[in-house]
Amino acid sequence: MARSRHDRGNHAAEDAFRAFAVTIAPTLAGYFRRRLYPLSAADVDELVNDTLLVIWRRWSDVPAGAEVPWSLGVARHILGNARRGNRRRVAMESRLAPDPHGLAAEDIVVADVALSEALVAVSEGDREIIVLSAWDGLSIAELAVHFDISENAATVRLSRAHSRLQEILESAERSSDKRTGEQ
Amino acid sequence: MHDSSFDDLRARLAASDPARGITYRHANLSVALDVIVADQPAPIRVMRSFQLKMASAAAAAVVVTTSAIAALSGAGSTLPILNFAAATATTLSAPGLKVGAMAIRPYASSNYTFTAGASLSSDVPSASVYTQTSEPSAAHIRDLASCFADLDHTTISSESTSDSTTTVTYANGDSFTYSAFAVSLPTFSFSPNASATGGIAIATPMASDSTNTTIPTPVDTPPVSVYGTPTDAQMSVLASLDSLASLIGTDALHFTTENASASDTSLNAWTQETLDGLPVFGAQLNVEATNGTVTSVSGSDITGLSAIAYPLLSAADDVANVGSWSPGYSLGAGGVCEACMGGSVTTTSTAPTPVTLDSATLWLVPRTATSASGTDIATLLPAWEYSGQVDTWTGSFWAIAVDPQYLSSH
Repeated sequence: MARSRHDRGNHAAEDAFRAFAVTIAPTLAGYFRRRLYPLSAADVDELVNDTLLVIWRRWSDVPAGAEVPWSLGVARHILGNARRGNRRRVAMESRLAPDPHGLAAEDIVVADVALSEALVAVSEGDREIIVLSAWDGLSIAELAVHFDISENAATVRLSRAHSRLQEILESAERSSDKRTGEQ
Repeated sequence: MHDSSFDDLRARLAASDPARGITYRHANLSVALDVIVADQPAPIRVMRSFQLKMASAAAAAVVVTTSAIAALSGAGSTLPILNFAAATATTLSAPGLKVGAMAIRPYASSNYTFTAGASLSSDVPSASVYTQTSEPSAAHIRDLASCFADLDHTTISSESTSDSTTTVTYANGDSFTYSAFAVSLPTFSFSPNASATGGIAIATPMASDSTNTTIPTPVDTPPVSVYGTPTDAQMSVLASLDSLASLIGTDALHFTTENASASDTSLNAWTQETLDGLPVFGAQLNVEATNGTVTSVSGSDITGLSAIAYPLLSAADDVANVGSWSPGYSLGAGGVCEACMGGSVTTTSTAPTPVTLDSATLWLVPRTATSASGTDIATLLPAWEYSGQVDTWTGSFWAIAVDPQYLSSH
């Protein structure tokens, strides 16, 4: 149930928001780190700040009990704006800038490259629900709130996304095995 | 999927979490929250009040008022109302008159002394303040989505709207999302279904760009990205997206090799959206393609805006207002000025750092205004982006180009 808009001016609302901000900030930081590269600590702070500002401006709209998935929805939009701003900055700095969505060279050494490539290959919708579940830790109920769908629909959507990811992953690994065998 | 393979996939996903093992500590959350909860977009509220007064007045009165504003705008800095640069800087910095969204990065003017360089123009620019007057209609969203559908000859299989976000799914699994939720400008994105054969085909491989360096790649590691020039065929596909311009309310979009880059497997292209010849901050059309197929197209929609003529400040005169406001994400090369980060500059015991601003660009900057009834209104405000050297880094600094003295008195 949405809180009353009149709450915003109350100290109680401000206190509640401050307490929520402290708990949600690390979740937001993780959300941004997983989706935007490269990010300095200051960049993360700023994205968290901007997200918290929108949450505060819409504090009366935040659904009680579903604050986390709702806030990650705000973060998704903040991220979209940041990507566009970052692209402009990158374009101005150098045409030889690294792919902001790619892996850093040092990461490639230790990362599960096949999985990373499979995640890139699935649709944006599939990737988002997989990552929200596996990395951001949203439950089925929270995914349902985040996407504004029923829990049954969230279960089906996640399952299908996993299946498609697995299919791409297995296909790529079969190709890799075949190449290895031919050498 | 079998349970064992599912568990294995979950384990691999968990192990690949880019944020795993990172403990987040905000540099100064307390200070940031102080700024956030004090959010009162005063200048915008004044402007909204002015707009409401305009809306409620008789049509003839509106014409007179608008004409008067236009006259003020064209009169330039000779009018007394535009000669309050120093006073307005004080006003904007005063407690209780805080700018709203995106003012979190506090490079407080008390820590810097900004001076206009000789190259800054004193010419008063010509630009309008834009406010959103109508919500995007379902028909408009469908028209926008059809731009992509036409490229792929797909048909819509479903369409849903919730929380100011509309999602259109095509028969082949491609999807189009349009959202006006929690953003200053509505955004849209098109995501082809990666597992389908459809999508917007872009030929690969790319031609190499002789200006770039080929990085030797060991045989046992993945290749390092080497950027090249898109082919003519790719540019032709991108040019077809120019038709979007008329639908999203911007000037014609132009992809060139200057704003596109390609490797042997991927293509990234972007074009800055402009309105009346001015770039709109953060509004770009972005295209990404991997292995010959577009993986995403995204951008902003600025239709439904109406222009209001306001008196503006020249680049030279507006320097006094620098530091009062920032649209964020643009602090120069490296992107980080630690001295500017929230909370890390709290002392005034040291002398302000002198910064000579030597160039300026006028932007239209998205900003959300909040009316007295709590309704969010998208606006585009003319703002100067200045560039200046601070120690060893080049910073960008911002000031709204709308005369704040005029806003506060109307």
